Amino acid sequence: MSTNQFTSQSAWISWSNAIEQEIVISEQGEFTPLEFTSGVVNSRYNFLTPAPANPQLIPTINGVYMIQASLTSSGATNQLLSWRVGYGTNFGNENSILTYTSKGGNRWSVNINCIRELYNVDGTTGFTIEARNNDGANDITLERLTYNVIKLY
Amino acid sequence: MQFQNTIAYAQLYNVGGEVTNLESLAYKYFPFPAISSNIGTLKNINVSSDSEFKAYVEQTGAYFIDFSFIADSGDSRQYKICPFIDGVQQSEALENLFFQQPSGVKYEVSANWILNLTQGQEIAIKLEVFNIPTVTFFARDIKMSIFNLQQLGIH
Repeated sequence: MSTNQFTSQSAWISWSNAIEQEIVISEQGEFTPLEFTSGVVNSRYNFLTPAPANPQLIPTINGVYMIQASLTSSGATNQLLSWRVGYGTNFGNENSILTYTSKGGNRWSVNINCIRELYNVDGTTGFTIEARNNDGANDITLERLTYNVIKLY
Repeated sequence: MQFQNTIAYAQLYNVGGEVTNLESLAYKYFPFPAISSNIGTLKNINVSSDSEFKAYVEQTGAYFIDFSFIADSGDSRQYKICPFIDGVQQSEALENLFFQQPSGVKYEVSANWILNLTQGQEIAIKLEVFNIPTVTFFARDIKMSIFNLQQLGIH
């Protein structure tokens, strides 16, 4: 893909995980990172080519990035679940997490988004997503996830 | 693929209503047209005049697509939505699944994607139900926002 003519380059990536991935919760109230071990890249520009190992969503230039994650979860019946997205281990303010009840253990479609200012992109740190079971240690099934990142500036 | 020197975007909507074309395990268009009266704003993206919620891009590029609606009734059934390009599902990984509670609840469903589209291609978000519900399913307040990321001046 050709580069644009501006010094401030744009960048984006869209990544979808393999279907029905189990997130093993080892402890109630603790966030568990999603292992980006398999999935598909829907579109990519100025992000590194994904390697088989975690992490995969690695930007190449500093800037202001918007994260948009759409996912479907199930399992952990009637328990309170939380998700957070970030860059590496930087998840920003605790209030930026998404929390909902997994009523009936059915499939629930939710979204989470945020904007991160990245000044020290190092070519090895990637965007991340983590899940938490607030009510127990029951595992969560991640049915689907599409993780989009767009560089705004 | 080159960056465009013109922009492309659209916001389409429809008040929606009863979804009448559901079949078990078969993706269907949202049966509501994206005709001119349902366009919030639009440039270099075209819509169809037939009774299906879909759009056509005039530029090749990488497009951000946000789609949302209110799922109403259609109780106790599993549903999913997925983007289709020229009528072809790109990957099961792009699906978004949801379950309608057995209480006639209204549930907001939304998802977004970035997809590479070629000039003239059709983009649509389709709906599938696992088993036909005994209670009518409604899709209300359907919205699709789409814009080309590969355009100059937005970065």
